[in-house]
Amino acid sequence: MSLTSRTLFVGCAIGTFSLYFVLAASLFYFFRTETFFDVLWSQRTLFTVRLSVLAATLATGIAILVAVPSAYALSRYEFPGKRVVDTMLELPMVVSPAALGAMILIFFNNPAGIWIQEHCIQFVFTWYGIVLAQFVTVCGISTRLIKAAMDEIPRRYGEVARTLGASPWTAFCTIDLPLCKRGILAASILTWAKALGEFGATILVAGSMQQRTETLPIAIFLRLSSAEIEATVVLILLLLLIGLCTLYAVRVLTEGKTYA
Amino acid sequence: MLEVESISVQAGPFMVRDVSLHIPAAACHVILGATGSGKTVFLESLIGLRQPVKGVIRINGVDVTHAPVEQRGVGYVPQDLALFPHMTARENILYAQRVRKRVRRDGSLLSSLVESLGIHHILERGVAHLSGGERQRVALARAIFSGSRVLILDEPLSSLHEGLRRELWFVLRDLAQTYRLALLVVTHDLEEAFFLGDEITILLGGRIRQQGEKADVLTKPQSVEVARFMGIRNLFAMENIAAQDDCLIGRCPGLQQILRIRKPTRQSDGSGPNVVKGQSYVGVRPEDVILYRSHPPIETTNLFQGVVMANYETRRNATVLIQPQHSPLRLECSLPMHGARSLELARGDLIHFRLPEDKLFLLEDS
Repeated sequence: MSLTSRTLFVGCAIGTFSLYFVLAASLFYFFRTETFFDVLWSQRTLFTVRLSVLAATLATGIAILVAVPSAYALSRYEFPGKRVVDTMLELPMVVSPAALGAMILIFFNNPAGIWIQEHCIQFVFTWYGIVLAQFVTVCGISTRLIKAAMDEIPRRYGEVARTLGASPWTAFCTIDLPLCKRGILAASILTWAKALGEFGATILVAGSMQQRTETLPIAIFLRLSSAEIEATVVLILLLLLIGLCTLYAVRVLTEGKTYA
Repeated sequence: MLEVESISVQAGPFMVRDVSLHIPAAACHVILGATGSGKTVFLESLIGLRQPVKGVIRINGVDVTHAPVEQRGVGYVPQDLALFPHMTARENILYAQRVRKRVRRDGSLLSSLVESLGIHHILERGVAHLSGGERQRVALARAIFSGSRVLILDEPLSSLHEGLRRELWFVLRDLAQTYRLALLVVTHDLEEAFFLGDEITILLGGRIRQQGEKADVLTKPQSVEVARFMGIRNLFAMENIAAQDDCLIGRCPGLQQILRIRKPTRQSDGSGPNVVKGQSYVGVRPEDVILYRSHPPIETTNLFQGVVMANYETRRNATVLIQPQHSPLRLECSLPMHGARSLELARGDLIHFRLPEDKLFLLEDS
């Protein structure tokens, strides 16, 4: 590779980094230490953080419970419509979260949705709606991430385990699951971070009621709407910190472990 | 112990057809075949990973054709060994005991296996910290400790260097005898096949091309395809073949000579070419060609003259290429190193060579 093209490619990489760095650094223009701690320890922010962490954890937990068997099926078995199912999992990645949120709202205006709301759980404009919106947004992504981790584990391990007397379920529990536990953990962390930062679907399904359905991204939106720039900066920094910790954890978990 | 009757297996557009074999206890059957010949597809049907479209598989007389993998009692050592990377060597070996509901605590089998395979010192090591040979031994121990007496090995030694491979050939033969195992080994290595196998099946293009005792397969390939697969390059067209006493006499246009061939006898399984009518092929193994520096003192048949075109020395023997007089063909001759050196062969030397009539074989035109 010539020096010119190398310079171009490295320049692009540094340019991209600089863009994000400048955006992050510009936050400090409105950073005030005294405001920072006031906002951070305020009742409202603490509620927001608590709600966000709880909802994201719950949505992630449910998503992983669904994603692990789904990913295993997609990774190991052939079945009719596999390609369609596989493609549908990418829907949340290409469809706007607002559209997903609108789809959920429209569903709850159908007879089946109305029945669920009346006889089971009230999702629209409640805390449950936040969990549902986040679950719908992240479930496909977590399945995709876990499938990628399972694809890296050769099928041969499971096959040999079965020749040694393991049933398919035992082979899954004793071989495939332990071997991709790091991948599942990494997928869980990424899913959790994605759920924590979810905005579009959440605001449409659960609304933006202060100290009721106010997650971190919704709080940023509300504070910015009311021109509380310094408070907004505090919340953005909090989200950035969580994001960086997430990326670091994922990097550590996925480093240098292959089974192929 | 393992009986396979007319198994046919479909794998996409490819099909393995009508494979039958029988392996008793303490015996080893080798399947030889080129890449893509259907060896692995066939093995997968024995293990239970593929359902055959027809045929029967019996283990110890029990029909297991449609039994789930875990209920067949077939030990399997794949090419990549598939040792579980999150376990130690001991945990790998004890895996079958761990997952089976009826816990079998056969400590004597474990210690005897560990001793036979010389793996006592590596039992607590993680799989990533084992050498190639140690991994092979652990994989064998794991398969045997599962209680299976039918062991299927899919090119298990292909990734090892020659010294280690040879060492493990002896280990495999010992294990088969000690634990009364029925071994089914798949390989494309001829030397390995003839060392390990009591019987050999040659599988090409999804069909058995030859099957029988190794001596028969080695000395009497049944078709040009099998002979070529076995590395026999001395194959020449024959014509005008006629019987005379216990021999066949025919003309070899390539060599521009008349050849006498001992009449082919039937193989032990009753197959094998009868007297061939019209054009066929004659073959001779390189190691069966006899070279003379000068005309031998006694009259003999199939004695010709040729020119040495090349003399390549390998680790164990020498390969001499001879161009018969008045012929464009090349004849490959393999002889022990000391024999080649005593003849002092050099390129361009005129020598005599003999094709012993009992070593020539007639092949079907395929």
